[in-house]
Amino acid sequence: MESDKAKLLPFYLVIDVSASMSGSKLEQANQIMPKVVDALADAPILSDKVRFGVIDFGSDAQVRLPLCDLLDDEVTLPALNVRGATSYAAAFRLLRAELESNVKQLKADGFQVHRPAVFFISDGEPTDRDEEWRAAFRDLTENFPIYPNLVPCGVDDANPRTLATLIHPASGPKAMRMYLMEQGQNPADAIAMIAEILISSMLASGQSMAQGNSGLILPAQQDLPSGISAYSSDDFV
Amino acid sequence: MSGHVVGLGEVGPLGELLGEGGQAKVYRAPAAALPDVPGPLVYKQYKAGHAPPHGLAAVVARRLRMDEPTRRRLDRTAAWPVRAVEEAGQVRGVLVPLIPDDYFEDRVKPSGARARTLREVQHLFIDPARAARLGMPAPTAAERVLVCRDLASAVHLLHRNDLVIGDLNPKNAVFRLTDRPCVMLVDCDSIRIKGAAAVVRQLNAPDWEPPERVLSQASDRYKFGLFVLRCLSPGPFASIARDPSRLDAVLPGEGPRLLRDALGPTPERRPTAQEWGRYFDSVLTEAVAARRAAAPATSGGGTSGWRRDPKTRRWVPVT
Repeated sequence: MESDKAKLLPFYLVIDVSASMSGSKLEQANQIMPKVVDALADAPILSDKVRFGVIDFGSDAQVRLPLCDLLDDEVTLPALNVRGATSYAAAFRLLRAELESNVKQLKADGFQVHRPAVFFISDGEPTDRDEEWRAAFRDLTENFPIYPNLVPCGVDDANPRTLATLIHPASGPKAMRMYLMEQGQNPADAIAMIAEILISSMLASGQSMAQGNSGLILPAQQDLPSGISAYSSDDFV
Repeated sequence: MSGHVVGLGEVGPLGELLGEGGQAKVYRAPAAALPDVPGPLVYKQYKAGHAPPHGLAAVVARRLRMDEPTRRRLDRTAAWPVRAVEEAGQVRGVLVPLIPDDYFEDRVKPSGARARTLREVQHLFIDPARAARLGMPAPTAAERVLVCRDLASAVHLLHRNDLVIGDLNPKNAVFRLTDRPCVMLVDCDSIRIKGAAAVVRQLNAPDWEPPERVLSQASDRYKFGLFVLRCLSPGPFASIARDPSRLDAVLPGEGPRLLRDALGPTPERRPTAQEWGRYFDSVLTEAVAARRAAAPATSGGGTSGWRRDPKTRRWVPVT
């Protein structure tokens, strides 16, 4: 008899909590997790498909919600708080370690694992030295078999040119995209819109996973909330 | 007369937007009224490029040709397209009866937000304790059998009328438990008439693919088997389960064999919806008889399955 071996999509939110995120931006950031839970509560069979985890980063990076089934009774959602600078390097290093250990764990538990998806939200420039965070990014995306599908999202003072270099894969049939707040948009609202994109991407990806695609489906251009634009890696040179 | 088509003008001004999917938007149509549809109507407006190329009129016409009792039965069973809506000779949308209130759940979501949620059958496949925590009903085993029984009769009605459901999936059937447990098929666009092409291409939802490529009444019977399997063994990964042995200890009598045949690769061996219906009737009748015989004083509560009583050899609910 055919086994009922499940395929899971690990889905991560990596979010900037540097000092500049305080105030209404942080409030909206704290709304993301409850919104994701509510969306799953409307489509609860997606718990057979998707696992969700949260890493935040300021001067350092921390796992705030270890990869889990968000509808599990045991799950407690953490409150995000601001702390210090903007270390992309710390975020990438911790993310790499988490991907490695989480995927190993899921496989040991008998699951097939889709390529992990990461929404990376930032409102500013990295405060690390350039070569430091770029080296950490290379470790995450090159010669690392479980490299993630990485979707950078920028609000407020995030530098589009910097963020565009984080789109991964940057080209090819499974190229990812970047989401940017449009000029003049309220950054807190933009975070709420990015949460919408994250959720619709998670729902679409979970629902279509059995069809053997890359495991991450991003919303079509015409379905994006107004105030956010999508870019591919070659839109910024 | 082409009574199955109305002009966009006859739909009148649209009301509230009720839902939006990739292919269409659904609005209330408070000004639209039809002699053959007693309740309110909604207008499903296809997005540009998503209007069905053909066949919609035939699906609409099939309903209008039914005798009145059958049509009423169909209307209770499915949110059927009742008129195609055209503008300048092009299909723009379709009028469909509004899904009745008792298929919606007023609930509080985990964040505390209040919501009115269509009770999609996917909620039957998850752990009942989790469903309850998410503000959705957690039916008993007996209620689940009644739900399966009702879906069997729905599938039988459509098959008897030469229709192919095609894309039976966790989102396009909804259930209620009040009154008498019932299932209603919604989103009926992908239904086709046997021997004709589908209105929109018939697709399989992920995890609902039958072994064969072409969708027919036989693949409907396969998907019905998956529904029974997943509805009667709710819990983690039930929504992707295919192994009929999950129900060996749950289904009495012929059930495990019916389920193996339903999920097998040989389309001709899959039980019809009518056979399933008779089977569930016998399960329910025996369960009631056994309960009366075994414990006349107890009130009907939840059961988690059936077992054979060693003395009477009757199937009795496990309490």
